[in-house]
Amino acid sequence: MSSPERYRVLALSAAKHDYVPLAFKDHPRFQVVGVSDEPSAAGWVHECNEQLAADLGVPYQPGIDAAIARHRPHVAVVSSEAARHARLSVRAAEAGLHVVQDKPMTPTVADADTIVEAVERAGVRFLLWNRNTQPAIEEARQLVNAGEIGEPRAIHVDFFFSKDAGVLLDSDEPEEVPDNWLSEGELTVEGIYPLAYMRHILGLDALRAFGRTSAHFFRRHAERGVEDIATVSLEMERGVIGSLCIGRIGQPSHPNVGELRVHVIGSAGALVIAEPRPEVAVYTRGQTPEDPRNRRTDEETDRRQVDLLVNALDTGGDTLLTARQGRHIVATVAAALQSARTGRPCQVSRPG
Amino acid sequence: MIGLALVGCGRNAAALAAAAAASDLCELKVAADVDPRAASDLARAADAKSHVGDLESLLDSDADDVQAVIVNTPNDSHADIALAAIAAGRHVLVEKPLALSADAADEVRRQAGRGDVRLMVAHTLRFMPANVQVHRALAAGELGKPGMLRSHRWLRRFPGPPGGWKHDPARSGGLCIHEAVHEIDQALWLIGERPTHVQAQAQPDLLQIHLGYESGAMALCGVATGLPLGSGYYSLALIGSLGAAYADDHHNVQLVFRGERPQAVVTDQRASGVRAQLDEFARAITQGREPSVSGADAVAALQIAEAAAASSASGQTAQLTETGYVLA
Repeated sequence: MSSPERYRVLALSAAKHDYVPLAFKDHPRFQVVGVSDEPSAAGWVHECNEQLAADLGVPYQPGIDAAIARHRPHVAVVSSEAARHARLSVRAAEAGLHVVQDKPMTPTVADADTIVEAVERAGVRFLLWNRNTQPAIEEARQLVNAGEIGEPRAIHVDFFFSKDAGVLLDSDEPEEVPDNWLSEGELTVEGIYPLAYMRHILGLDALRAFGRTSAHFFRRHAERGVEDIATVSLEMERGVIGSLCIGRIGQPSHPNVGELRVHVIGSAGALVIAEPRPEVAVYTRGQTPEDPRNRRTDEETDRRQVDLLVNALDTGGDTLLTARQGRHIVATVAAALQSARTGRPCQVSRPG
Repeated sequence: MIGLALVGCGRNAAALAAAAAASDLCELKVAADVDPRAASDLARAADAKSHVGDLESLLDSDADDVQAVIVNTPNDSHADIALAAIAAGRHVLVEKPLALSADAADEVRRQAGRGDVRLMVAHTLRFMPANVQVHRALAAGELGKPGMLRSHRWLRRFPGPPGGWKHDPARSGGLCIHEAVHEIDQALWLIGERPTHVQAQAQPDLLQIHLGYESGAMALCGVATGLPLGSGYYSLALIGSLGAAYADDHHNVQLVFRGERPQAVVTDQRASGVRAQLDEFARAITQGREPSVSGADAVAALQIAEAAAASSASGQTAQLTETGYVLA
């Protein structure tokens, strides 16, 4: 069957972020046709969905089956609360839609397994949204693949990022936790990005994880028992040593949007890559401490990810981050969190 | 001026001699080595006397000139030379590790405590200018409570032949004892707390140490010793509850263009660190106080390094006890 001139896209919830569906807005091979969600979704979720529909200039129609029947989409873009990811993605796959899904893939490995099973049974493509098309990450991958540093032996990712999460732990200030705050830990939610870098650059999976986590900064993290910082040691395929330090470390605690770095050690050399580069520094009178001074210059990162998706859809090939690869990242995070609870290294589970 | 005898004129000796030459507090009087040429070359360059032979004769013959000994020999001789110097009433600055085991190091510490001599161990990372600034910010309360320490330290391949002592774990102690004591001491210094457990992964020239603390703090430190680097690479991030500090070569590179790809050049801060370390040793002697890196600090680092080695060998986590560790 020939590929359609334009793939019709249905956004399934914009509870979490709008940037995933918006990445399809002006792409010549996609047409966003509508926004939908479960009627039972929370009120604030419906408000997010209505806003996204207005931004895209498309209708918002609660009731997923009806929206699918109305728009006959090829692709579902799922950006709901993580707890509903598996349900919505499985539902889309069972309806024969390719699935693009926001982070984290799922809160549990079991949920990720249901997605893998559903998309493979339906024969549809699945893309877990990621940042692997950042120019610096692509460059690292190309250098490694070209053999510039010999055989990879270790990979270390430092992933410290901006934005506060409410009041600090020791603060006396009152805090109202917003409705859309979903009580998820930072390794759980953001860990997909650095772990996907490792997968993308080396093509290797983690086998065993040792983790430490802490709610070191923010009261809402501590009260909900979720982490804002974490360290993870990894034993990877082919004897490669891996590690990840990750954290939402507070607005003042980094020079710019974050300190995001990849270190790769090979048998013949090593790389140190700053993920946000290339960037431009902009300093103006009146900047607040929250304003980023450094801004990325590449505006095509999401576009390239969508281009690669087009290729996967047209050819039936793999996406940039498949359901199985995403599932392994979920399992790696789960192993690290279990290790943090038990104090012992944990195996990363494989699909049954 | 404190008169110094430098015992061991191989690798690192030139940096120590240069530090002594730049110091207003001490001067190199004797360069000693079992290799006559190494001793005479360094002695000539440093305008010092050379000595070849046993330590006892050196200390007897130069009793008036030499108040302190720098031990810069292969690791498996550190403790014995330090003990001999202490027995002869000399202050001692010992290259890390103080000994090949925590118990042996503790014996040196005890002997130094019995005599009126200062014992310092060269955990040089504490004196690197960038790290000094990080510690200063931490001590001033600017960073709040430490939550995470992340470090990367990459070194050139050991230049010696494959059969050299650094390649022999029986003589060097292996990577955990030989190199990771630096990272462990640094973590003790910056986190300010003894870890409760350690998980380590090691290969002959790669090491990763993961430390956990009762307070919830964590440290993850990597060392690589097999790289064909033009110089070393060092990166440290200390994340505190109120702020963070980054002592990091990647932030400080200069570029050189010579027709092909641009090359990154990092200003070497090591010489400053070695000089600051030597001055601290000399001040501690002059002021009759404990050096800022004591024998007890070295013993503490070695205890954790031994646990790291056991963790790496077994794949298990080492839970630290008051006197050692258990694997869990």
